[in-house]
Amino acid sequence: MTTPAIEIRDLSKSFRAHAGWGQLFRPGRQQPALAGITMTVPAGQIFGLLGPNGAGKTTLIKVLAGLILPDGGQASINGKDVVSESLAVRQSIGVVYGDERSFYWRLSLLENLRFYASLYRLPASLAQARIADLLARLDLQSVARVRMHALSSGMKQRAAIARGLIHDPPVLFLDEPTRALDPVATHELHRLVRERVADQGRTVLIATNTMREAEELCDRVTLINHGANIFTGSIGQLRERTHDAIVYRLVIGGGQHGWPRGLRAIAGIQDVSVSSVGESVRQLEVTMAPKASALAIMMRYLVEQGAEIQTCTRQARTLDEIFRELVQESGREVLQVAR
Amino acid sequence: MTRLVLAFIRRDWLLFSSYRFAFVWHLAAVVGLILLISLIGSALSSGSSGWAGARSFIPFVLAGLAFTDTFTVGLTAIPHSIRDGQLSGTIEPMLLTPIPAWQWLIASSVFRFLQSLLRVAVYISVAVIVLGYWQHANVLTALLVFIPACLTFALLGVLSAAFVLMLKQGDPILAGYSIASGFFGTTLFPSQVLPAWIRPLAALFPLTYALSGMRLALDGSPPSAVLVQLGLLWAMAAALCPVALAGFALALRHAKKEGSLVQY
Repeated sequence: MTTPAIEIRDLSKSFRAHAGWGQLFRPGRQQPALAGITMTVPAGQIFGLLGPNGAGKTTLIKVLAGLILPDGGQASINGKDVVSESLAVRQSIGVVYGDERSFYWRLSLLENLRFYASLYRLPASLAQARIADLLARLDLQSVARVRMHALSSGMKQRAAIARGLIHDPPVLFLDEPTRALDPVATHELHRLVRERVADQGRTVLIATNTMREAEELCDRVTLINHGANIFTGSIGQLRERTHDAIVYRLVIGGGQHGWPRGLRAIAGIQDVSVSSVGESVRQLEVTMAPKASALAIMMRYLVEQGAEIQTCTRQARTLDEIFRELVQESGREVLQVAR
Repeated sequence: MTRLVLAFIRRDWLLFSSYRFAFVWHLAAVVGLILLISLIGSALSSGSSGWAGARSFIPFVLAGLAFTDTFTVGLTAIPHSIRDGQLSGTIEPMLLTPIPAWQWLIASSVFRFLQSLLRVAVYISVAVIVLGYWQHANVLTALLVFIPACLTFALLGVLSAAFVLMLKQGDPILAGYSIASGFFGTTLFPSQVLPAWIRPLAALFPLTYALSGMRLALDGSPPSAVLVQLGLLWAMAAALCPVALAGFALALRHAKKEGSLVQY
């Protein structure tokens, strides 16, 4: 059995809430950031760490990178414990933050990369070759000699990826890498991550709070909220979590005004909303329970009422909606995850 | 380790020289101070000032200023590097690299220390060549004093860095040093002129022994003349070593526990 790239067992971490001067006399309240996270990331995957702001994503990455010590549980990267074998772990990971700080802004990109290459003790010739390769791979050659402060946010983010890969780590952490990017730069970064970063069997753990990013990049995701897993699986499995309602959108001409009340009376229909989209043309959004036979009854009812049904489409629930729902639900119960 | 130190020196040089006006001003300040000391020294040494103590006071102050500068940098270089890292956000990427913390501490402070050594070299050169002081300085004695003195201040710096990691601001080591060096540092005047009740405090302060040892060396005293200073400086270094290293390790652990490495 091969060693997973990342293995986390029951990891927990709390931070003390700062209470100003009162803290001198009474320690602040402990606020949990990670509450028993357990997950496994197989080698070679792009794995998404999804969650709303404050869910614990960055804390988890910092624990894995050895920048924060956990209170309990265990975590390992390629079989090496992140606490007791910290130096070995640091050699095998690269970390990219969405934050633009952390570079020497008055040095050029090339000078920054050379400096970090020497911190990883790369021989000069290897460092030079690696830097040239990364600059080419991430389309940064033209700005190599430009000072960091003059680069755009997108370029800085690519520069951060170049730094994260300078020692060719088998595991790369990306912490909200597109946080400060516009849609074009975001799309470009996704392409680079897919085509030129997650290659050669490298494992990428990407923390994000946007489902679209996870959908575009990730093989599998784990959704965390309040520091606990609430779902782990593929995006497809996440989409299948439609034990909830189905929405139909209909555009209707003519007919009477008493439809909504009549539709709501049909068994299985949960909600009806009506909006006007033109002269005597209305749009209906009808929410009904899954597996209900309400659709046929609804259509018959509308025809009987003299409605001219122009279109009827089933609305796919967006991943963002599923995400919001799961996050809200996680406040009530922790789901059994599909591994 | 050598490549690591060279990488840090290169980084710090590039950063230092990128602030062009500050770079020029820094050089101008050194030249200006040298000119001022030369002029005052020449004027007082000529005998026309009528002050009998002038011949001994100028080299006393010159040695005090030059080496206080170096020893102070020895103390502040490490905590300032950490503070810079906290403010610029570069401390985290640094701690993500597989460099042990002690190597990072040493390497990140070398450039500042080299700068201060350069300033000392310039001050001493002017004093020897232009003013004619310390013609018979004992280099061996100077080195014997300089090494434990630098070590002692660097260890105080490590302790200071521990406070910077924990408290961010309000480091008591630097604050204490600033007050102590001003009151009884013996940079500008000997401890004999201090009130009797302060003198015991001066005796606890490493700068007192470091400066008196360096002054004796510059005056040509043999190593046997600085045995007391040597013994006390090495004793202080030996006492500080475990405290400073353990203190820093604890502070780093505390910062990692609190998740406060990049807070400032």
